[in-house]
Amino acid sequence: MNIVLGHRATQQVVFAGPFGVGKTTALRAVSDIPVSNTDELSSELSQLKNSLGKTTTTVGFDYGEWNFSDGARVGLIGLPSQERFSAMWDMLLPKSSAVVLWLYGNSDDALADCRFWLEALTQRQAVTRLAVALTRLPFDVSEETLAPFRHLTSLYHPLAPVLTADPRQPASVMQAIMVALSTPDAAPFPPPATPPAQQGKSNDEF
Amino acid sequence: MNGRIWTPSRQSNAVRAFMAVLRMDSPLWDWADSPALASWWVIDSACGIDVTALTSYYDQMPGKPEVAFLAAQPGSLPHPAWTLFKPPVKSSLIFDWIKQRQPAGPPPVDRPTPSFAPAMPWRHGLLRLKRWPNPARYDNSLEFTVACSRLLGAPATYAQILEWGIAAPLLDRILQDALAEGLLDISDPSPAAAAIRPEKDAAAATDADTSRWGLIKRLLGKFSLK
Ligand SMILES: Nc1nc2c(ncn2[C@@H]2O[C@H](COP(=O)(O)OP(=O)(O)O)[C@@H](O)[C@H]2O)c(=O)[nH]1
Ligand SMILES: [Mg+2]
Repeated sequence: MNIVLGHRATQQVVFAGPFGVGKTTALRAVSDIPVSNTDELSSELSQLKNSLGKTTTTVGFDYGEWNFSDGARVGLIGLPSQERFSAMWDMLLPKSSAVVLWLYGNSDDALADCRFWLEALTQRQAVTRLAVALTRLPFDVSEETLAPFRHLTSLYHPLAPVLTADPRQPASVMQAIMVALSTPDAAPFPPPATPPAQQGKSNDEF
Repeated sequence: MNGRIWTPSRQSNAVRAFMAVLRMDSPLWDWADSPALASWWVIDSACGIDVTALTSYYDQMPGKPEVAFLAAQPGSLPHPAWTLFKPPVKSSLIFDWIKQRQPAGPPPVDRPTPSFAPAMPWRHGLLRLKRWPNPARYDNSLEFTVACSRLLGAPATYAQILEWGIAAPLLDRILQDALAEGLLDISDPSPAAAAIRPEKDAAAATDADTSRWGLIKRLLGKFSLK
């Protein structure tokens, strides 16, 4: 990570989730700078591309930034969704300060997507400050809709927030980031009975 | 004697917490807009009040209100007839103070007594959130985030939560929803229960913790979360 952003940003907020869900849209909604795809930032990222090797040079991640008055910067990163670019996930996720997992709230695949991403995030130590954001749902959606996501998420982090959010609205995106950052450590609570990796395979109780 | 309270600083968290405790006793306690219309005053010395003006006004009143004076210093009571409370004020002390001055119990008000107490069980116990409520349902994102984050981390009473600066109507809505959705634990507010999980020692905070809260502060300064 430092190779890419070392002198620019000291912390990163990462957006993850399936293709088309709204990661780039959300990034644009809150970034202080025009969101660019790293493929367009050739000079800035040539070092990274070299370090990752040839296969990854055709894909980039979205990059935005918050700039603060004291000169500090926080990187905003949209992960590529396809698993074949998981080298990017390996590099970007472990050092993230917070992750928002965006999901299609109106899709039958949403729970399966959720589980897939929770596994991917857990393997990269990226569930400590996590918010699960369900798009394309009314804000006051019933609790029955949220409950299976809360349950599934609790197997990975007992306190992680599940919320409805709209990637097109800056306040909604900020809310997702804020609740992810403000979630207390899970430590004081008893850990789940079974490790998440095993739970993920056989959880049919929704 | 009525159940109306006047204060020169209704925004004071200590005053709001004082009122919240009174309303645990009876929902009929309410604010008075003028000191002359109130049977009770609550004065927070931390709010830069002109105490000299208040005491002379008080001395000239024909029927005098009962006055609770909130101050950290024991020697700072400006009038001998007033009662000093040291914040954070214990609810038992407030109840004793009320009972001594009003043996008849809750303030007599014409309205029929609504069944508020059983409908708002969170006003009595020790509260802890099991999970985040859906923040999209609440319009003040900052107050919501602070209150929920702390209630997820450690239990607190209703009066303590009000001291964190959240408005009572918003807090009631959050807690009512959370209770209905099975996200809220209410337990007996015994001292033993309160001591289960003391707040984390600041000195024990990790580097990751420090930078996380640093980022939260930056974001609060940068975005006015609506
Ligand atoms: N109706 C609706 N459209 C959305 C929402 N979020 C994103 N979109 C649209 O979905 C499309 C794909 O979004 P994009 O940000 O490119 O997805 P990405 O692949 O996750 O980066 C865009 O046209 C967005 O405007 C939403 O909450 N509701
Ligand atoms: Mg995109």
